[in-house]
Amino acid sequence: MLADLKSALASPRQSLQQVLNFALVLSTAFMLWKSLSVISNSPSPIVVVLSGSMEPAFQRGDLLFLWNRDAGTEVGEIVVYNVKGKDIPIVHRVVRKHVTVPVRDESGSTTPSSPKLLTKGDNNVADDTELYAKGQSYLDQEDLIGSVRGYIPAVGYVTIMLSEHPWMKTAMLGIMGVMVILQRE
Amino acid sequence: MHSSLNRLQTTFGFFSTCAFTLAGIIAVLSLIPIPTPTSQPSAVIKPREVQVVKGRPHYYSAKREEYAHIRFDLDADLSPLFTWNTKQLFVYVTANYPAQKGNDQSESVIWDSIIPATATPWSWQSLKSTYFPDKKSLRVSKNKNKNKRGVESTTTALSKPGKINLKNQKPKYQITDPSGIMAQRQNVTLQVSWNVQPWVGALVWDNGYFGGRVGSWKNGRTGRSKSFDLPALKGSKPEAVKDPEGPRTPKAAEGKPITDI
Repeated sequence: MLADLKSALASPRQSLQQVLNFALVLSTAFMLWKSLSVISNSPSPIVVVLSGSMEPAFQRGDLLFLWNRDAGTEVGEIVVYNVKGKDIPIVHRVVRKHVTVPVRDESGSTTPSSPKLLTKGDNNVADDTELYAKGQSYLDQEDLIGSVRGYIPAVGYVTIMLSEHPWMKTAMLGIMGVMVILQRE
Repeated sequence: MHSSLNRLQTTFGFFSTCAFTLAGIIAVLSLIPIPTPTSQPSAVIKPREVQVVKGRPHYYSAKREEYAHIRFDLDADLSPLFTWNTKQLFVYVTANYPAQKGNDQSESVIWDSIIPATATPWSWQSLKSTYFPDKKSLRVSKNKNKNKRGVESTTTALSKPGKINLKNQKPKYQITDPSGIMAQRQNVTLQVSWNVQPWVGALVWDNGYFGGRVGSWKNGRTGRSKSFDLPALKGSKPEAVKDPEGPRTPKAAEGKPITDI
């Protein structure tokens, strides 16, 4: 290892180029992710299913592709939303859409209010009223992160395993480190 | 250069490329109509018995709202939607009614059902039930024939996946409105809709982008009922009609001058 360090210091331009290449790879991946976010108008365009509340349609570990450019949401669409104030995205189906009477303010102009939505998981008996924030009975269009348009089964299971068993992260890093050291020799 | 780790990496990379390409091809193929579909899905729905009752959202809430209980007849044939890439079909019946002013409709699901596709002999479900059967199902089905289907469907009277025959079906959900008023609403229609969930690829709804391409409704049997009105509250006097828009701020008093100067 010390020999590698010496060779790196001897040709600083080459090692800097390698660092730059590495940074380029990282930033390309990041920019791809962000441009996907912009195209689909959603803060998180690809999500992994964590719970079993949409079985048998979506199992834990399925990867979902979201789209958020539609003006309105229809009943029957599967949406991902964040509970107000919490950061847990929930994937459920819209079962009710109520059009509200537009509110008239003092100047006499009406502001069109977005329809109120109620969601429910396919595998749940009750709808999501209990999951919403205190005092909130319906969702607005702005609470939604996106609407599910397509999915790939079982690909995201690695993410779930890594987040639920953090010792696996250290184990994987350890194995990778061991491999790198062993490879040199 | 040709160490075992390298070989493993190359193999895994090649495998994942092939898998994703295959998934992409499957996803695209199930959206384009080749071969052209021979039959179209059809559905006829009729409301049977409609009641509006007073109820609470849940046991501890103080407010009382009106709930509509709509029983219906449904005759549907959705078997053309079951292709080789269909994992399950989600069928749902909505009651649509217009808001007080304007043409926008409020929609609420009153009944839904998941129809899974029949498990093929080499699928995960069939293999699991043959080689790792649940001890419970072994004991119960000793006298019956071994059922190849691993999952029970929730729709009653199924002879083939996709054929639905319901008579005077009790709705799964009783519906209300944020204003709390459901009695004597007019121009209510029932609509049957479907959502195909594939094994891999894009989800298709009947009123979505690919709905018309994958399975447009047959002429005359589009699954929409004639419009009907909701009755008055059960047990209430007929002249007690509530203000349907809910509480409004009263308009400020206007004074007109008696003489025009």
